[in-house]
Amino acid sequence: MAVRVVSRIRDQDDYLSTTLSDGLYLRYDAATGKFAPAPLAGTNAVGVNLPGGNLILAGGRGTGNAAPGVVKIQVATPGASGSALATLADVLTATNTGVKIAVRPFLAAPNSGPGDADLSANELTSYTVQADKQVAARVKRGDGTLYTARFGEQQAALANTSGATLTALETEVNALKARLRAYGAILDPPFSPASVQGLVLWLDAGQGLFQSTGGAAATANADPVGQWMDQSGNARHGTQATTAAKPTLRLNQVNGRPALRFDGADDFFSLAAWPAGATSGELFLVVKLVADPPSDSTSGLWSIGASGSDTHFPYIENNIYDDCLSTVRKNLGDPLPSLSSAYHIYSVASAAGAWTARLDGATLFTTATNTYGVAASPKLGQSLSTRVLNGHIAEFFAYSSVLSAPDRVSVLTHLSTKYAIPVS
Amino acid sequence: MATLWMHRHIVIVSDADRAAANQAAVEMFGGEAQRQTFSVPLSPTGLPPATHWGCFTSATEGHRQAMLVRLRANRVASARFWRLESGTGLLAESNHAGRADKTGGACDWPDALADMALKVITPPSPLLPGV
Repeated sequence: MAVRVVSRIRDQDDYLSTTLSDGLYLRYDAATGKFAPAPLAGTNAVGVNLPGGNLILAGGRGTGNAAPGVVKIQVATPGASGSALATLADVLTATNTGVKIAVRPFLAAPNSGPGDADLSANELTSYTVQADKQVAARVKRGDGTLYTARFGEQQAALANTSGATLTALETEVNALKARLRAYGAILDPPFSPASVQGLVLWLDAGQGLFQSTGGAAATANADPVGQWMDQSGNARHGTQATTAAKPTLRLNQVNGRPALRFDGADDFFSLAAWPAGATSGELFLVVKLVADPPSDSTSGLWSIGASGSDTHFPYIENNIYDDCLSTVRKNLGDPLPSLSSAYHIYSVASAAGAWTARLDGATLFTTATNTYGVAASPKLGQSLSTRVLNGHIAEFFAYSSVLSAPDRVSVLTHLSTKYAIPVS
Repeated sequence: MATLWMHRHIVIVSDADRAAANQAAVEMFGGEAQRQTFSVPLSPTGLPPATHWGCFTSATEGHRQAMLVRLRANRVASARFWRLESGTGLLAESNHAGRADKTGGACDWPDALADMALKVITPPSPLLPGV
């Protein structure tokens, strides 16, 4: 696999656009003052100090701790050792084929970068990017403030293996009346649920699936999943030790992404206790039912509230009843979209005196009468009693507070793009 | 890579055989957690008490053979099973008289319950209309 690398060097008007083949990495050549492909020495990327003491930049595709097919770009402050770089490496680690990498090798003094540049100039074209990666450029506005102009994230052309022309969104540029000053392109960490503060739990069917706790990875279609690893870093994994009750991995379910199948008989996950002391929260679930309405016994969804009553998603008369993060179950009514014809984003926000449920971003139900409450032993895929989910879950994550409107929009936009689900 | 869990088994046993069936599950899958395998209470009316218990589980070829050994030994005499291909969900085998000649067709948990004329017992859900 070849990797295309683009970079601009501080205080120099040179520009590198090259193909970094297997065994080569990007090295700063102090003699020429330029980056250039170089043979990979040692086990992985190495770093060098840039003149001016800004950043160390090193990237490469190696045979050491970078597994085949994995490309790592590491950025750290001068003097950092290779091991110290590792903590930042994951941020800028990209896997899969067709990885596009663009680096901004200077952070300390972005104002002193090279001359003005139009983001639509040739230098910012012909990238090959992953569909869920963002490409961004640091842009200086007319008043001197800096912002990151993002572009390309939602372009359909940005498939894993296809080249795409990247240009800044005109609306964004015009709205800010920015004098575009490009200091180089960077690979921002792609937006994820962790980009919003307060993430307490993140289960993604695309990663972290194991057939049992500490067991083999679940990667093949129909593999049972006994542990769904929490990607939030809080170790709130979904677990199921009984084989019969393990959901199964189903590949290529929604926008090419996998989902977990809950069989409508006995499948569910136990979740770790919710954060102690939390007084509010917001949850997002990407879900599709097998039948809408389901039968009584398959009207379950989760047990995350404290009302003592079952959640029904929906009940047999089509109304959704949910007590998520609340002491009282609410009747949300009958959602108009079929919950079985397509995947939907179901979300609930709960705080003292405020509870709102949304479907694909549109409010299903809201009330100012609410007391926050959470189940002592939360479950996903089964309500408080034995009612279970007959359907698929692609992703589930939760925050320990109600999101701001901009953060909610960011989350919904991310999910909409990721799963090709239209949102309001 | 193809899954090793190529089968999905629906198994229904009588209430009298539940303990023996769960013991068989412990032996086949390993670990005390498997004693919860037959966890779905069933009855002809959907009301307690449970006359039967069911499960719907993934299984490897080794598990399939182990189950057949136990069936031939008549350790769980009441057991009725529906073996589905895990990838397609199509029926591959069943020892239920009404389903044995319908291999290759679609089959799921509700079909097995219908074959047995059983319903899942669900507790009342308070504050709902009609319950």
